[in-house]
Amino acid sequence: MFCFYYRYLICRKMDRHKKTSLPELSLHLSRCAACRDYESRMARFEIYMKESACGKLSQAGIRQVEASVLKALDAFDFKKQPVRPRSKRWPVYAAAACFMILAGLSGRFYWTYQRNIQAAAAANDIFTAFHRNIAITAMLTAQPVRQEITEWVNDAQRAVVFVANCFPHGPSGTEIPGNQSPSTQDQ
Amino acid sequence: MSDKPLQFCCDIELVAAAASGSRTAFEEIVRRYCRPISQFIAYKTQNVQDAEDLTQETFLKALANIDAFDTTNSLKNWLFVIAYNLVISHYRRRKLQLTDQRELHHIPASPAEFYESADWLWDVVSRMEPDTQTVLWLHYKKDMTVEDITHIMKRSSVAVRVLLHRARKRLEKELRRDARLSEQVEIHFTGTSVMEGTQ
Repeated sequence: MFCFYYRYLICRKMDRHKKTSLPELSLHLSRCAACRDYESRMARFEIYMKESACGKLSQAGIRQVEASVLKALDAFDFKKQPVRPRSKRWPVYAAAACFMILAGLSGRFYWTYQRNIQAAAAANDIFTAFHRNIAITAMLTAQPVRQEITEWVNDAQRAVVFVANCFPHGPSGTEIPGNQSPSTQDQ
Repeated sequence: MSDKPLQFCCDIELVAAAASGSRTAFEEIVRRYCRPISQFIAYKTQNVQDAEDLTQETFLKALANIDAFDTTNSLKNWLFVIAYNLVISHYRRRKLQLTDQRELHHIPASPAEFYESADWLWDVVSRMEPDTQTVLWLHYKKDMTVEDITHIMKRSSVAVRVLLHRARKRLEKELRRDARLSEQVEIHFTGTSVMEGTQ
């Protein structure tokens, strides 16, 4: 039923995978003839692949290639080869990387700081301008209103005097107190 | 380096000596690894002249960058990585040079004395994808593990295992078909099957 799993294990064994559970596999193989057959087929296949010729270079070919490589070494100057130990280069790269990161971070912080300062200054300007505008608006509107009210009050006073002058005596013929003509008051 | 003969020095000692300017140490490296590297390149290019040029280039490149060799890795794998990259660039150059793609498959035959003929199963392999061919060759002919192949081809281990599994499945099918075919031929000529004959 789980043969596909054990066939997968057989393939892993052929790949020389370290974590293949061999006791589990051999237990299954002792019980399952189909998987045993599969394993033996795969083993035969492995041997065939290793043993059969794959069109490789012959001894003569290899000798020719080796001779040409050794001949090519003549053109190479062994004495001039600078020896640069790897171990001494990495701290320089690490320091350069740290410097780049620090420079990047400080640049970013500085830029953010400058941007905040500019934003605060702009906000302050707007706030000040707003207050100034309110004061100017109040100043411009208060004087005409006050003048208008004063004119209304004067008009009302004049209207009362006019009405009082129109009726010098009350309905019962008595004089209205305080409503005397200027000539009468003088007497 | 100690005074022992170069043949008994390990790869790391040879690399250190070659890096400090010893020609004989590098010649020993060439003698040790020329065979597998040239066979790998020859298998990939199927041409002795190209194999010669690329093997030469591989070792000269290794020599030029010998101080960059990481001693925690194997020298053989490092040389294979260089050879594999050179083969890939060689294929790319060929593709650019040849306007007609059909010419790519028409490789001039190498002299017979330099090449051993391939078995029919490896002929089947030669019709597979180039990556599959490389994986099969490194695994079966150079006895490399999946991890080594992963390192050389810069592919994930899962990808390499999948390539191996698919190739095995296809080749095993071919092998079974061939077995059936040979059995039929046997029956045709002798009148008995191979199985009956063995019993």
